[in-house]
Amino acid sequence: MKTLLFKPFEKYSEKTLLLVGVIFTLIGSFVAYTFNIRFDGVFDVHIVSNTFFYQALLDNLVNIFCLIIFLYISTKYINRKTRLIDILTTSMVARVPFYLLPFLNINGVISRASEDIIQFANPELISQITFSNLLIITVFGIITILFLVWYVSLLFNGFKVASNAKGKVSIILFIISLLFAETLSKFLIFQLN
Amino acid sequence: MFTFVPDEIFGTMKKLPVNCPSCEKSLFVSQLSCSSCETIISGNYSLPILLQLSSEDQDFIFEFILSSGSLKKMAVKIGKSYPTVRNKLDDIIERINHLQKV
Repeated sequence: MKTLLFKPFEKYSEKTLLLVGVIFTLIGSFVAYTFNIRFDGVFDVHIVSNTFFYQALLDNLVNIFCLIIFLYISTKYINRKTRLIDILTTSMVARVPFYLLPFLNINGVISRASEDIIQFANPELISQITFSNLLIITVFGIITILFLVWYVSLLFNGFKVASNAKGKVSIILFIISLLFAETLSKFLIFQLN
Repeated sequence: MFTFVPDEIFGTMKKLPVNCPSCEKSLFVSQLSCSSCETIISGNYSLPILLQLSSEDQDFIFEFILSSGSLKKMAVKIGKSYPTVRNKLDDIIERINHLQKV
């Protein structure tokens, strides 16, 4: 179970991982469209008032593309034998935890809670924020952080397996790759909208 | 992370110690004997590099040969992904290179 959730790249073939990646990218895009979520950056999940399926799919494709570019450059530098398919499957499968997050916004519960909090985000009105909404946002925040950690750990495991990365230099390259991927994805998604 | 069951390959053969249990330095062969005529040869022979590898590495090489040197076939056979198997081979190559230098 631990291998399946955190280290699938050690066990499963690239064909299986690619299939899982494609299926979950489509499901993730559909779920984001259904629950009005935008993945507008490699590490971004935002609730919006309205979204289209093509937007949600494009967001995910841009994020995957940005991850591939920078992770592939880093892994090729670490190990010339690194295959593009392993970075592709890593970038797709690692995002699966993020695709589960929109389910938390069933019936717009998170949207309403956040709107309520924003409405009263004023020192004079702050006492009017209901405890239930505060609790909903806190729980959503904690779950999002946990899923973010799961996402990054999957990315790192895939990165390590694809390149046989060891040592501090590879960790630094991994972090730099993610920062560049996040920056480029935000820029591209902004330009495409 | 990468475990084979040695008994599957080597049966119940005793594990050959390659490092001194006392000071952990490499061991040498100092005596060989014939089980048929009981001739004993004494000397100071170094162990072949392959025998200096861990039993896990030796099992991997054995399995690699049985898979006709195909990492893809081997990955399917032992239920690991291709890059995992390739990384293991690269690690063994690195260890062999290190042993050759020593």
